[in-house]
Amino acid sequence: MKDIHISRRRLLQGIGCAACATAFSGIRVAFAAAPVDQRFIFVILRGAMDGLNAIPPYGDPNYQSARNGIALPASAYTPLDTMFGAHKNFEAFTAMFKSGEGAAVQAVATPYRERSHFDAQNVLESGGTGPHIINDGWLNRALALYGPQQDSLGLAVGQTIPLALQGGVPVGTWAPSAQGLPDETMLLALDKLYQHDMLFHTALSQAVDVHDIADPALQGTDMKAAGGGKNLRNAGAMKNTVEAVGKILSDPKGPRLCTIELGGWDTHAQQGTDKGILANNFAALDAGFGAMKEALGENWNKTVVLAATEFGRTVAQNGTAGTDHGTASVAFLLGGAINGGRVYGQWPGLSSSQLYQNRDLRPTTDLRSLAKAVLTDHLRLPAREVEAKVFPGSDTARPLEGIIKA
Amino acid sequence: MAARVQGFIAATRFGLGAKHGDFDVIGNDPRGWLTSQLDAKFIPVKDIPAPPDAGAVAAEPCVMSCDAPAADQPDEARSEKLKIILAESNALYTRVAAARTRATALSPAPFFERLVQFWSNHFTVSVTRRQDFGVLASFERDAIRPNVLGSFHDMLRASTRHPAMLAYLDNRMSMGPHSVAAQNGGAGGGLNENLAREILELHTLGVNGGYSQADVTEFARILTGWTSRRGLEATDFAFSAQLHEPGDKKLLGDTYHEAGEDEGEQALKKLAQHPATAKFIAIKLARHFIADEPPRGAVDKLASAFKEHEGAFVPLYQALLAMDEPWQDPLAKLKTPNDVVLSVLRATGIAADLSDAKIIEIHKQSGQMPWAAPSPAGWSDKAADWMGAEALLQRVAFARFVAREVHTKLDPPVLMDDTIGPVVTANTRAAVASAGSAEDGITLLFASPEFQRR
Repeated sequence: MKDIHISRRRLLQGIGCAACATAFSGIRVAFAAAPVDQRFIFVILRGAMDGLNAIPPYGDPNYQSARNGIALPASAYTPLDTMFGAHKNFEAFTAMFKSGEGAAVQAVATPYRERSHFDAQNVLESGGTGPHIINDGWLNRALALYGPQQDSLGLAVGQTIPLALQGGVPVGTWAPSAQGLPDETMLLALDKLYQHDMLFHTALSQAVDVHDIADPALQGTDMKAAGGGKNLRNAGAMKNTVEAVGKILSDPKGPRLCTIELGGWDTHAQQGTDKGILANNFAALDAGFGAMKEALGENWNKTVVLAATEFGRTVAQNGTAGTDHGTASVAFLLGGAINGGRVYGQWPGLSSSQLYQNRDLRPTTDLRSLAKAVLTDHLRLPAREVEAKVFPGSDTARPLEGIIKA
Repeated sequence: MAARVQGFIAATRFGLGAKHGDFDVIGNDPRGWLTSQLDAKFIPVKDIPAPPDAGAVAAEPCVMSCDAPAADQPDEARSEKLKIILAESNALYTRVAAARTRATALSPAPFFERLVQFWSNHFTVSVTRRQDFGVLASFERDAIRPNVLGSFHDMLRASTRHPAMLAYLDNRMSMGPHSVAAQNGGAGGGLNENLAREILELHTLGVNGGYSQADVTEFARILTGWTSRRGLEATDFAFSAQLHEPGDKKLLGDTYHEAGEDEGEQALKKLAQHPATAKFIAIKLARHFIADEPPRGAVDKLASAFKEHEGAFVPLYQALLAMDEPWQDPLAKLKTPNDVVLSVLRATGIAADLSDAKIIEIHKQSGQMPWAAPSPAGWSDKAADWMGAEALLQRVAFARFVAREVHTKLDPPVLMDDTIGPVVTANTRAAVASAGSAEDGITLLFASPEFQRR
């Protein structure tokens, strides 16, 4: 075991822990410069977001008729260009779009073409060509490309690690209202207690690491206001949580790649238009977008945010004023490091012959093309390695050019 | 010693955690102890209050089926009324959820209760849809418990017909595009395929079970008209011929001639007998009782038992108990927070004296609330979904929280022997013995891997 991070030295002081050698083999060298200064936040929108009402294609002649009854009226969106608008609850996003720090990509999908949330999320997060083909997450495999010593570059906001960040490289988790670390005596006792249980011991080490960064950074932040991080669908809780996350990501020695999860998109009934459950979720997501820019401060220029969902929803409304599982949706890109102010992607149209299987928005951009562009152009990972290790079997999904500032 | 380990597995993996004297009671016959719990006398739950009168909370049509009711129609009076209804519903949740946890923790048949919770999770209905809680409360009591010793088909049928499921997965208002209601210009006038899809994907065949989008749509047509009156009890299923899509349907290669409600009945019967269902249920059982990634041989044996006995549960459980695989690694599974709550309550014996509010607070501290699974897939049964840095800190904090409640009444080493004695490591024994206080000792015991696993 070499020069371990101070917190872990604290944790392990005086304990000859042979079994821990493996657990600690991938440790960040104390105070070493991180190999990447860019920040990347992947927002996982679980439940299949209705991209047609997030970034409505109001200029499509079929938009109103194809979305019988649930199309947004003109009062419910702000035009972004002559074709697309943004739901009016995307205030922060729209402002960033106008200042060149926000973009959307329409008609995006993973390679998955069935309609199970759970398999689709598996593809979204594993980065495989289908569900359950790869057992770990594409972000974790990306982290691995930085070499074995970079363990704490990944952070999952929440109690546990989503599949996107699961894998061989240790990553931390952080949630607001977190307990804080137990006292020193208890920590040492736990360290010993978990000596022979890798699952527990790894989690404990990561907890110590994250808190060493997060606790000082969050002094003075009202974690109660973050509502425990349990319900990010509440715009206020989202804002407070993301503000805290921004502070953690701003630490020079802190994590660089981060996931945030937001559920509640499975709008099978009464989804609403200008108001309603979907509009409320847009507001929560937008609060997160706004807070990211705010909290990352000067690091915003080095940041890319990608928000994506597992698939879209049917173009037409179903029998309960909602929408069923569909195919393509929209993805959001934000950050000072992107070429914003554009809606990327090729618009497939909404006439019935243009739809996928006569019901869904046809996918024209592979989500992996966005992710690969972020990994290579923003995080500066070698394209060949990304191709071979992060997204194997994705050669047809060329990195989307021009979305990251040169 | 080996027999003691088997006793630990019986009490912890199959049961809900050991309490004082359990290992002696189980003795050398862990399978016998478990089999004796497969008894219909454990079905009734007399301590759980019945939901209140249906009329009291179900005046609004939207209460049962709508997320964020009235969000699109800002009608002050209506939303005020809904607020009152939801407040009543919350109070009911506290009462019923606490009573359920208390009764489960005190149950003489913990294996039976684990099976109830296993099936309740397989057929998930969840408060996350902001349904009126009254109807959810009856789901486990009326659709799950009476069928835990019955057959898969019985339970599938009871679940699908229950108003809680019909509302949770949006079938209540699903309307055949050519139905009488649609002809009459019913609002929306379309199918909702949520229930049909999730029955295929999550309840029966599994996602790789060989169905297509066309099957989902056809099954949704079959299920049109399966709705409920605005009541709270399982008996309030109603078939609406007005909503039903007329005509023949084709599901998984079989043609279902127009037969109204009976089409759904026939389809459920077929699905329950499908070999993909046998395999899917076998995987879920093996994952719950053997390992996150269960050995294929064990899954095959369970699937065979399911097919051989046509989905009858008791022979299936007996096949599980007779196998070697569940009896090998005593700590293969990570407890969910809910498992931790129940095993802590059993170990300490405090459940009988806790108020409803306190029990709910304990659940909150644990991080897992009853009947609150985040999606129709139910709670995960894999360690990776329950462990991480913050999740571990929450487990430790929970151990501390409970230790504070009980440390003056309990002796840590005795509690340790009662609960994890047969599998305790020297490390844990030393940590508990050398802790600076009873509170610390109990915290370390409850936070130990041997206690946190099953």
